[in-house]
Amino acid sequence: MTAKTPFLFMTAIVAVAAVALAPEGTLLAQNPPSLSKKTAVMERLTRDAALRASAEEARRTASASTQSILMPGLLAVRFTEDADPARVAALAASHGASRVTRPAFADHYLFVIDLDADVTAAAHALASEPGVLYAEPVGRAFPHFRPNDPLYQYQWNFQQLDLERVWDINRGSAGSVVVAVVDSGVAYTSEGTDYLQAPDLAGTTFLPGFDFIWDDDRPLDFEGHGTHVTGTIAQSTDNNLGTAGIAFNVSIIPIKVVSGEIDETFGAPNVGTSSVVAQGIRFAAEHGAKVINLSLGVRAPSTPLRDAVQFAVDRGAVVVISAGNSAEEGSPAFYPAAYANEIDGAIAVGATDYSKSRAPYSNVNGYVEIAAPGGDASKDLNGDGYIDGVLQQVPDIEQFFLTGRFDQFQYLFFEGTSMASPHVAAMAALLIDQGITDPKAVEAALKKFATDLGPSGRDDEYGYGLINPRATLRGLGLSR
Amino acid sequence: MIRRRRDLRILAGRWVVVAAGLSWSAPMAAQTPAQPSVSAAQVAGTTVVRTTRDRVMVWARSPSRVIATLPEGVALDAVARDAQWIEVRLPETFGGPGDPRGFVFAGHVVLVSGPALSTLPSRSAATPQAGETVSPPRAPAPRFGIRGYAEGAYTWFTANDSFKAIFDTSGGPFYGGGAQVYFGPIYVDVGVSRFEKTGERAFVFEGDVFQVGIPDRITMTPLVVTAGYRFPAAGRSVPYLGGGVGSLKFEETSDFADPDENVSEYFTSYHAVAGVEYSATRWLFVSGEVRYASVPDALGAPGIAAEFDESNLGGVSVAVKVLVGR
Repeated sequence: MTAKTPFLFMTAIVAVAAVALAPEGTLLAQNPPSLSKKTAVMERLTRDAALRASAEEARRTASASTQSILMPGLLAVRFTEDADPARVAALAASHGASRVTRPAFADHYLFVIDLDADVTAAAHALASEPGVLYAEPVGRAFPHFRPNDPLYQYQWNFQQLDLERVWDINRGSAGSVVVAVVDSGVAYTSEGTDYLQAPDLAGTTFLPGFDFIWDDDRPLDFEGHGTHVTGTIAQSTDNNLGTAGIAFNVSIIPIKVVSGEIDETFGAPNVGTSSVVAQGIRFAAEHGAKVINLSLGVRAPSTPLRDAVQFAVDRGAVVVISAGNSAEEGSPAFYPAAYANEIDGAIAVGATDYSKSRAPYSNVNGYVEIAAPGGDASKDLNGDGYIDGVLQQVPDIEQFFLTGRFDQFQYLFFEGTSMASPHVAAMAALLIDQGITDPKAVEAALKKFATDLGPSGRDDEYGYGLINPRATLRGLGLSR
Repeated sequence: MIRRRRDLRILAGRWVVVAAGLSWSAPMAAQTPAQPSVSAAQVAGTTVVRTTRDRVMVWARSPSRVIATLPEGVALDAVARDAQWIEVRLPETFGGPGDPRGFVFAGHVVLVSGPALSTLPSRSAATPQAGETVSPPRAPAPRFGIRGYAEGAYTWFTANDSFKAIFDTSGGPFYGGGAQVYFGPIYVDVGVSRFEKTGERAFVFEGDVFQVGIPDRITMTPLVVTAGYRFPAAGRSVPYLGGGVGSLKFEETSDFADPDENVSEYFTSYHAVAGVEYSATRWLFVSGEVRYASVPDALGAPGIAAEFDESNLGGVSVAVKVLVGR
């Protein structure tokens, strides 16, 4: 039995206080400032007939819209058996086809006509020619990757970022990119029957991590924060369960540097400090992490923290840091976010809401470099009946207080720059998977293709703007 | 008109030139020259010339080749003159049946009778000196002709940084063909060619290019009209200069693009060309040329060309054409 095992059996109620202002030097996970606003969305929702019907309708609509897209300048034409190649060539020429091909395993020809031509009209004209059995436009085939995770429909943040089309481009190669979640730990594994792995992380790849709070190699999450953050990055996706993640094929290194009430109540030897975070960052960089997500901050400047971020970037890791949730308190600087604009390859992330406006809590600072959905738990702008937070699975802390076991999970809407940061971290991972490995270049790409919000150009609310995953992954062509 | 003559005449000439020292190895004609006589043609005003040296070569044009070697003293009907060459009818003894014609170097013959061919050179100017060789006669440029051609070209694009970002190289090949019509030294050329290449989409950061692994296909189809001037020149090579306008169809498609994200546009192009055409046979020609083309304002934001402030789709090309016709 390890040091942390005894409290797993205890039935105790520990008050979890939301700390709005922390004393200098104390580590704050960039949690939603209003935990009371968290609303659980149980899996029962997916059994709701009305919701199922709604989801099905949405799926049909999406399907219809994508199927209507036709390939420009391409016609499928089939001729009668007795049509000779000369006849085909003559018809092609008379209808302005610049090229005719007969694909393998096909009973028809493909006519390449002008890209600007009306393919429907061209097909109609060809179809009326003698010897032509049919001529029709060619529809573009899409992978149709829409995750079957039943709660995906509530992940407005993913739909806002057009992730279905992003996944058409890149879902990440399995295990190819290593992302470190330096946070409150992750419910990444099961410890007997008292601490269970989050079911919706069952298909996610985890690499050995470390717990700098308990000084062991089992960075278990007793808060939910790190598990929620991990879910946004790499929740098991298309598994008919719960929610989806953005870069669900990456490998995650769970690293625990944030201590919560439960850790401290049960005598964890360390508390989360800037020094401990710096250790976690260096551990991640030395264990192959190419992206390090830091959904946390310290109110006091810390040279070890800055040096650790620089160390990680120098080792080839992109460091993504939440900007802070204290806009309503005057946006005091949080570290290491405040170092991000001094270090190319480290990115400070602000939060936006459903309307793509700065979330009211998101810090307004000169170090904010980019923005991503962090949600606003005070609103339901999309009218789905739930607050507009970011939805992921977390351990049910209240059940622990009743049973002493971490074996129950729930899907919760969180808000915060902590929730925005993993969107950017996941994007960085996909970009790295496409071969952009220089942290400076990853940061530059994210900024370059961001959708400018607020005043034109960089500003303190949104940085360079809201991340634009599809544009970032597509890059630029010669002329467009 | 000059009447046909097939008789052999050896006439006493007023101008006797001995081109000593020439060592051509062509076999000498075996015939013994006949005695001088005056033909009816001379009476009728036909121009007759006589070889003034042994081993006088008679050349055919297109292809250029020696068709006879004449001894000294052979009389020949002169048909026309082209610079230093005189077109003559070959006597049957030397040229065989029919009406074979060829060209002799003006310095190797003297006028015997008949009207002087225009600009008949003086002996001193036309006579090759000892050890001097003469070039075969250049095929006269027809007054009108039409030819078709196939061409291959390699273009180094003006937007070299942009092309290099996408393709890792700033140039690429064009293949095409066309037709050429000429009226004397003036020619008009209509050609179409095609460039097609697939690279990778990319972005630029601090001058470095990062490709993102998304295929990007560029197709360019220039249709150009060129008018130019072909310089008269000795031998088989004809230099030429030209210029013209065209229409360039530019297409860019990439994977994962929505239809409105692909590009299909036409741009006006301007070009200048300089080249040399070589006559391989009477009907077959090969030319090499250098072209400069400008296609202004064709590239720009939001593409990668804007990153390099490049907007011109033109470039410098080296092309080889194979032409058939005359």
